Amino acid sequence: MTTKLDLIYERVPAHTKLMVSKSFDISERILDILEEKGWTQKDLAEKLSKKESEISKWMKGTHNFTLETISKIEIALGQTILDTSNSRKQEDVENGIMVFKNVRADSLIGGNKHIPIISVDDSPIILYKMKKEINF
Amino acid sequence: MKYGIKIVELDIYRYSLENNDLDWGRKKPTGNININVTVSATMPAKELSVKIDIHIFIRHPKKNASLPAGSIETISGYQIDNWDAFVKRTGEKYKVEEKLKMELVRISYDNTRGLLRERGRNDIIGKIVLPVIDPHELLKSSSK
Repeated sequence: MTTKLDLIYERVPAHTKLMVSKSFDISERILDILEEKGWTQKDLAEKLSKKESEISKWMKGTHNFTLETISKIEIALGQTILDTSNSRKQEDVENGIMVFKNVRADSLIGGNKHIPIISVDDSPIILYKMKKEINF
Repeated sequence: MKYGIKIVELDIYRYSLENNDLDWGRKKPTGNININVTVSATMPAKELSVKIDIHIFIRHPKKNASLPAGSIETISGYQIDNWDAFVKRTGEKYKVEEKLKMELVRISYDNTRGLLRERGRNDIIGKIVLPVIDPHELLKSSSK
């Protein structure tokens, strides 16, 4: 049964869904690194010369990060957050295959699988769709 | 088996109940199911995934209508031997050998039947034995 929420969700553009998904992943990655380092959000704010409240907003998972901001965060943390892998197979580059990661770990894989970085490979490519109604 | 199919992922992506407060009666439930199947490839990992999304409608004994009772969506991920022999690429499109595709859909649907029975053992939808399906019938209604 299609709920109102389903209908609303269906109207959300695909790129918006993906953007929100990636934003959540970036926030999660930052939080993971902070935890590894034993840092607080305040520590990160000081490193970036920003207010703690701004860092807190980032961590809500809805912030539209710029590449510049991500780069500064990566330098401050000393770890990669957004991986634009250059080690893609030559075959893939020649054939122009560019896919964006379909971030699905949180919801698809029992919520326990940890994907530490966002990469530009490794996204499902839909091949077939089938639909049928059957009585039982 | 020539494909060397290995299951690398099997998850319930979504399990939900609807009209859970209704009294569905004591008789064996009857009704209908809507099945959506999505077959996808993940590159460069070379994995094939089958998503089975089933929405269940049960005929309510007193309302004389089929009402939504719940849904289950599963993901089955597979690796196969000799990928290049069975998954052909034309430009940016991939084509899976028909028999392999049917086999993966069959396995995934059978997985879903079992997962529904297990996950829903205390619920009305878990009492439903999903019909055995010939993947040919599913693939006849392929839209892509």
